[in-house]
This record gives sequence, structure tokens and C-alpha cells, in this order.
Amino acid sequence: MRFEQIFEQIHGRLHAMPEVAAWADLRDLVARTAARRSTPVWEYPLLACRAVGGDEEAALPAAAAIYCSLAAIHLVDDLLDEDPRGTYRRLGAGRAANLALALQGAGHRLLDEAPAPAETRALLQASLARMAMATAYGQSLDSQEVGDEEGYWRVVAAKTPPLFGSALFLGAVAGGAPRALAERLEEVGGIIGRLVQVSDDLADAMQTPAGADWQRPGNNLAILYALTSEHGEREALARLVAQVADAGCLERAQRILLQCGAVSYCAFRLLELADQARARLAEIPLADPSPLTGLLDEHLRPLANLLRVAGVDSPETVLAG
Amino acid sequence: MKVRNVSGIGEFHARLFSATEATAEGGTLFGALRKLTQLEDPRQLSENDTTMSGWSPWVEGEDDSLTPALAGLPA
Repeated sequence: MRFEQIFEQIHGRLHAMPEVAAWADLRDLVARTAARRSTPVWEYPLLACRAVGGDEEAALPAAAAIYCSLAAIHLVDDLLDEDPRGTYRRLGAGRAANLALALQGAGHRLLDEAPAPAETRALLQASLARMAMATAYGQSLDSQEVGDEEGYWRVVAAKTPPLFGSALFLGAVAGGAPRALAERLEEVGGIIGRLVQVSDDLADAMQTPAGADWQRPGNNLAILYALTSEHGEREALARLVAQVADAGCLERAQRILLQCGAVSYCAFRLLELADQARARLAEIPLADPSPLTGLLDEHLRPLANLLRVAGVDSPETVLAG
Repeated sequence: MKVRNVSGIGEFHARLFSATEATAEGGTLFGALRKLTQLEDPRQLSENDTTMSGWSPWVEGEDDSLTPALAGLPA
């Protein structure tokens, strides 16, 4: 199923709720959803469903629930990060927070539409509720700056894996997989969540104008590396961190990230996480692992481009070991 | 894919810049990662689809040029 078809399904299910149909802010938010280069996390339930041999139609309520959860998390994440591009800038903090509450509730209502026995639906609901609670806790940890790598990984483990893990769990259960198998896919989703977080850190640190992560530099792996490893420009970077609103300062700071090895370290960790995910996936008896191995390949494609830009002749060989 | 074990930032940094780990050809993992340290212009990254963010589902502000929002869907 293509992005537009999946989104049309999600859109239709959301708009069938009278509150959504009557709520302009919510309708507008949903209408602003856009295709990205990467597979959105709300498609993960469909991939997991296919991987366990299920009919992906059965996972559409799970996909819709994950869409709502992601939207809710994103609204609050922007508030916590004071992200200048956040929806709250347009609507105000209160209205944005209220939309997040509504979307969290909508996710649970959508899950209740899953064509599955009550016992299975209860399993789905419990997973979504666990994920929401765990993510909120992780976001709370992330709102305080960490100062070392151990703290960084602790926050990342709490913040991102629950959503990605739950997305695969929901899809597998909706596709008819036994709970134990779905939990193994949830673990793989957790690893992908870490991978996405490191990828997100790299994207945020290298974007122009300066991303929100420069306000809490210890919570971004690339910036943390550059501020803690032994290199000649560490002090210079520490001074530049507060000045990245200036384009010239940002470019100098980003050049330091490249040259001190911070970008290389993120690439290394991405490879390590992809390796872990592949190994776990290979151990799980799946009807068709290709939707999930394809997802991992997709996550590594930008890394291959990164190495190509750096002048590596055949990045695929390096990525393959 | 075989990623060599490195326990943290300090060890990775030492290995990345050691002569034995990083070959000039970039044919090994650490050689390739070392080549990244030689990039001069950070703009090369954003122009070449080298990072992928998994979080944002929306087109907002500066991102408006990325892809059109899904206009035309039934309200």
C-alpha cells in the first residue's frame, strides 16, 4: 500500500469521529501531513503485519493509532524543545497541548476498531498505553540536559524505542502473531528507535538554520561527542554553541563536528545499531522478513550517501563489513 | 556487516585518529569514517540526502518546500 492510500485510510478513520470533523485545528494539523523520504513510523504496523504473514488491512487501525500517537508526541516534543517550527508557534501552547491530548485519545478509539477478538484488542490497547506513558517519561528525562554519554543513551533508551517498538508489536498482533513473537519484534523496533534517534541527532546538528538541539547540546550525540572528546577545537566549539543563530558561527560549529569525528561517531553507532537489529531479526521466525529487512536497508541508505560524499568509492562494501 | 566493538566516545576518538585504524583509501570501516573528518563544507551533507529524520510527520515553516501536503483528501 502506498503512502497516499495508507494516509487516506487513516484520514478517513479520523474524520469519522465527530470531534475531528468539527475541530478545525485538528483537521488542519492532519491535512499538513506530508510524504517524506523515509517510511513513516505509522507504516511500521503494516510492515510487521506482512512480515508475520497477516493481511495488512488488519493493521490499519494500528497504523492510525500510531499516527495519532506520533502526532501527539511531536506536538509536545516541540513544546518541550521550544522548536521554532513547532505547531504551538501558530496555535499557542495551550491549544497545541490540547490537540495532543485529543490525539492520544483518538489513537485508543481507533485501536478499538481493529477487526480482532476483544482479548486481542485489549493487548493492543495495553501496548499503546504503555508506549504513551514510557514516551512521556522519556521526554521528561530529555527535557533536562545530560552531560555524558551514559546519560545520553539512558535518555535515548527511554524516549524513542517505545513508539517504534509498539508500532511493530501492534502490527504483529493485528496480523495474528502470538504475543511472544510480537514482543521479539517490539525489541527490534526498540533498536530501530535508537537508530532513528541518532539519525535525528545528526540531521538536527547539521541542519540550517540551527536546529533546536543546540539549546541542549548534551542531548545530541554529535554535539556531545564534539564537546567531550579530545581535540584541538573543543573550546572553540563550546564558545560557538551559544552563537549558532548566526549563520557563520553555525557553519564553523558544523565544520568542527565533521573534523573532530563527531559525524563519524554517529555513523559508527548507526551501523552498530543496524547490525544489532539485523541479528535480532534473523533469529525471529517470520513468514516474510523482507518488509523489515527492507526498512533497515532504507535507514542505512542516507549513511551510504554520506560516505559517498566523503569520497568512499563503494560505501555499500563498507556498510556490509 | 561486522562493526568492531568500541565502548564509547573516548575509545572511538582514539581509534579513529590512530594511524593503524584509518587507512587513506577508506576501504575499511574506520578508513571510511576517517574520510568523513576530511569534509570541508557542512553544506555538502544537506545537499546530498545524507541524513534521515524519523520523527516529523508534518510540513512546517521552513520545510514547506520539501513535499506538498496531502491536499485534496476528503474532509
